[in-house]
Amino acid sequence: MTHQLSSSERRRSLDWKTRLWAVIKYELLWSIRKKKLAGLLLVAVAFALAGLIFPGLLSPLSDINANANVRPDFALGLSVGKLGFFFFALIVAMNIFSGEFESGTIVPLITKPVSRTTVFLGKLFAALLTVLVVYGVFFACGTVGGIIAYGPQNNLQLVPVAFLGDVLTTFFWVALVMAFGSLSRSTILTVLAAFSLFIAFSVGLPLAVPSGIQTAPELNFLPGNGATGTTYVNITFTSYNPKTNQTMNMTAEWAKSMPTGTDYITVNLINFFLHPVGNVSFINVTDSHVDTMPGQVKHNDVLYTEPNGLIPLRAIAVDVIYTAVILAVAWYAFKRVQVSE
Amino acid sequence: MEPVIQTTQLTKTYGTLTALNKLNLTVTRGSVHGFLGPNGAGKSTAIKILVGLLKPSEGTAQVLGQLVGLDLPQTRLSVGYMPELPRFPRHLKGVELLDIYGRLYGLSSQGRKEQIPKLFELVGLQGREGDLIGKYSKGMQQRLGIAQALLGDPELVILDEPSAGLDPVGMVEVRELVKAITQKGVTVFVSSHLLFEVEQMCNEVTIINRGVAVASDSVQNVAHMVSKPAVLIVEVSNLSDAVAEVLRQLPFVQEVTREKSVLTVRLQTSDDVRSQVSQEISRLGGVIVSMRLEGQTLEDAFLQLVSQPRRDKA
Repeated sequence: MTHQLSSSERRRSLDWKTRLWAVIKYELLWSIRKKKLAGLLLVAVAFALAGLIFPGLLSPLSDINANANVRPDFALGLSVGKLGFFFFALIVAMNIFSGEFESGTIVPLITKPVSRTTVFLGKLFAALLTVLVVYGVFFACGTVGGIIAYGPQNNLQLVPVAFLGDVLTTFFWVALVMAFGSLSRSTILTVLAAFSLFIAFSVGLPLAVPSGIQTAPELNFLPGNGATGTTYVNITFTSYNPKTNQTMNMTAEWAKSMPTGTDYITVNLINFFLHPVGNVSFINVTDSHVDTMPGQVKHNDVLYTEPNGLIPLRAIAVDVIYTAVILAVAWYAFKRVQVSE
Repeated sequence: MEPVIQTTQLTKTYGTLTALNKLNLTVTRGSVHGFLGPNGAGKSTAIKILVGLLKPSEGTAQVLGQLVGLDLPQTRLSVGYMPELPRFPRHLKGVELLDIYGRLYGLSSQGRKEQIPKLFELVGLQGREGDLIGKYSKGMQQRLGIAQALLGDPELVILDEPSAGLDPVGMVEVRELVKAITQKGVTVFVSSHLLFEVEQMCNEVTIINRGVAVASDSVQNVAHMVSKPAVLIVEVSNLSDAVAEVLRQLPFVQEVTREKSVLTVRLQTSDDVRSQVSQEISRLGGVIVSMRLEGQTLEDAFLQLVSQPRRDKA
C-alpha cells in the first residue's frame, strides 16, 4: 500500500532544516497564490514611482528633507516612510497566524511531526523574505528610475544603507503584527490592534506630549518616534543681488530637525553616513524658538548633544531588542496555544 | 503487548465544563478500534489531546509508548491523523500539499516520489493531483485527508469522524479505505457516532458518554454487555408444537411464543445460544428458514449505555 520507510529515513526525519524549508515553502506559496506578494510589489512600485514623480510627496512621511530639484543626497528620497513601514508589515504579517486558525488549516499543519518553533520560524523567515523582495523591488525601481529621470546620481552607496534601515524598521512592525495574530488568532483583531498602536505611536504620542518633552532622552528607548533633535549642516547656496545683478556662492550653517527613534533608522543612518563627525543637539524648544534660521537656534537651551553615529546605533539596538522581545511573546503564545475548534 | 494508545485518568475541563472525566483508554496494536459516543461525548477532545492540539487538565496520555504534549513532535513521527472535516490550504495543489507534509515527516525526495503517487491511487484521486484543493469536492478533500494521514508509513492512524459530511457513496468509500489500511497491520483508531460504521470496520470499541468511558472491549463483548434479554426470531418450516415445548425447557430460555411458522424465543442470557437452539429445532424435524438475534447488537448496547445516568452523579 505505502512506501515502507527504512530506519535511515526515520533518522533523517529528525532533520529540522528540511521541515523549516517545508514551512517556508508552504508560507511563500500562500503569499504567491493568494496574490498577496503581487499586490505588495504593485504598491512598492507605486511608492517608488510616486517618489520619483513627486519627490517631495513621500519625504514628509519620513521627515526627510529631500531637495527635489537638486537631490544632492539621492537616497534621502528613497524610503517608504512611516506609513509604508506599517502598511507593508501589516499586509505581510496580518494573517500569518490568524489566517491559519480562522480557516482551520493550522490543525493538519501542527499535528505533523514538526515543532511549533519550526513552524513559527518558517513563517517568520517567509515574512522576512517577502519584505526583502518587496523592498528590493522598491529600491531597484527608485534607483534605476531616479537615474533615468534625473541623470547620474551621487551617494548611491546610501541605497543599501536605506534598504537596511527600512527592513529593520519594518520588521519591528512585522513582529508586532505577528504577536497580535498569535495572541488573538483573529485577523480583524490583529488589524485593529496593530492600527491602534500605530496611531498611538505615530500620532497620539507626539500630540500628547508637550513639545519640550519631545526632547526627553527616555523617548529614544521607545519604539516608533524617539526624541527630536537638531543637527547643523553646512549648505551652499547661490545668492542673487538684483541691484548689482551679481550672483554669489555662499555657505551657511543650517539647523535641521532630526527625528530619531526606530521609525527613523534610515534617516539617522543616512545622516551618519553623510556627516560622520556631526552631532545632534536636543534643545529645549519653546514656541518662541521654533525658527530654525542659522544663528538663532544656538541661543536655545541645549539639553544634551549626541554624535551622529550613536543615534542610529541606539535606534537599531532598541529596534532589535523590541523586535526580539515581541517575537518571543508571539512564539510563546503560538507554542502554548490549544486548538479546540 | 504494549498498547498503542493508553490514557490514564485523562481529564479535560473548560471552566466548569468537564469535557473528559478520568478517561482510561487502551488501544491494542493491530486493532481497528472504534471510539463511539454521542455528539459532545468528548471523542474529539480526547483525540485532540492524543495528537497534541489540546493539553490535558489532569491525567496522562501515551501514544506508541511516549507521553503526548502540545509540542512534542517526535511522538507524532509514526502517527497519521485526519481531523474531522479536514481543511487544507485551498490555494495548494493536492500533490504540493502531500509533498510539503511529506517533508514535515522527513521523507526523502525519493521517498516522497515513490509514496505520494501510491497514496493518490489508494484514495482514488489519481489524475487530480495537480488540481488546486479549492477545486476538490468535500468527498475528495476527505480522501485527501486520509492520504495525508498515511504519509510516512505510520504505525497508528487516528481518524476523527472520517465519514462526516459525506453522502452514502462517500461513506462506503471511506469504509473501504479504512479496511485497506488495516490490511497492512496499521493500528486504526477511529471515532464515530455511526454505529453501523463502527460495527463494520472495527474489532474493538470504546463507548464514551459525557467524557466517561462506559464500555471498552471487543465489539462482540460490548454488544453482549447489554442487560436486556435478547430475543431470537426463528422462522421454521415443518414446525410442530413439540419444538416450542422443548425450547421452553432449555435453561437459558425465558419464554417462547408461536405465530404460524415464526417462533419468538426470549432469552435470559447474553451468550450467543443460536447454535443450541438451531440444533434442537433440527432434532425435532424443523427446518430453519431464517434466524435473527435482536437485542444484542452494538446499537442496543450503545443506546443502553449512553442513556444510563452518569456514574459520578449516580
